[in-house]
Amino acid sequence: MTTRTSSGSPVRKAARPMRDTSRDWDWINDHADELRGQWVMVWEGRLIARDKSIRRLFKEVAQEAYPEALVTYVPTVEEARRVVL
Amino acid sequence: MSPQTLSFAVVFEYGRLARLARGVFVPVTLTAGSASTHIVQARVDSGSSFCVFGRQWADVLGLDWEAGEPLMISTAAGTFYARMHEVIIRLLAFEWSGWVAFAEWDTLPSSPARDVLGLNGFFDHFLVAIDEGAEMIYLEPRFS
Repeated sequence: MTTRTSSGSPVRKAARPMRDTSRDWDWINDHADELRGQWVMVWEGRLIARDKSIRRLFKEVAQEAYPEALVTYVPTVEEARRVVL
Repeated sequence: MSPQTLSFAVVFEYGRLARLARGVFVPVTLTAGSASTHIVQARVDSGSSFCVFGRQWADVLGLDWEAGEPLMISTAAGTFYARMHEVIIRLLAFEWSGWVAFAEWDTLPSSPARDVLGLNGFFDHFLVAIDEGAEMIYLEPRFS
């Protein structure tokens, strides 16, 4: 695609800065082997939920319960080795 | 050629986010109306013309996916459909509104419909420099 759009607004300072997710990532990296192939929801270095399906994950935990939680997929070893274009 | 000096307001260390898969990642949220996503790991990809996110995020935001402007996205692995919606993107301490292409599929690890910040909607809002050796991304927002 070559489409160039002039879209949206200029950048502004966020009304609410994002929560620091460093502790969440430290926890995920420490426990990656137990989590591979799953979506995880982590908040303040604590696992809230995990599931192979992201839609089931959303059903397990109400959005408003942990609105600033980190949600990410932990790839299998094979998936992590794939080259991404 | 004379040397140029650039300055950046923010530097973000993405090494923690890149332990699981190689790439340059930053944390973002998307907002539409009163609904927001959780914090999502997005890949920074200047090879992508648009910001592309999985369809599940459109559903979380309560967007009518079908109502968005249709778009066909071509990748090295094939094509897929997406629908454009304007949302607020928040990255660290910054936010802006931009058009995001929500893929016809949910975010899947083997799919090109992964969550990506591309040229329209991200690179046209920030001056970006990447120091892959140090796993640092430098960002200078365009406030006007």
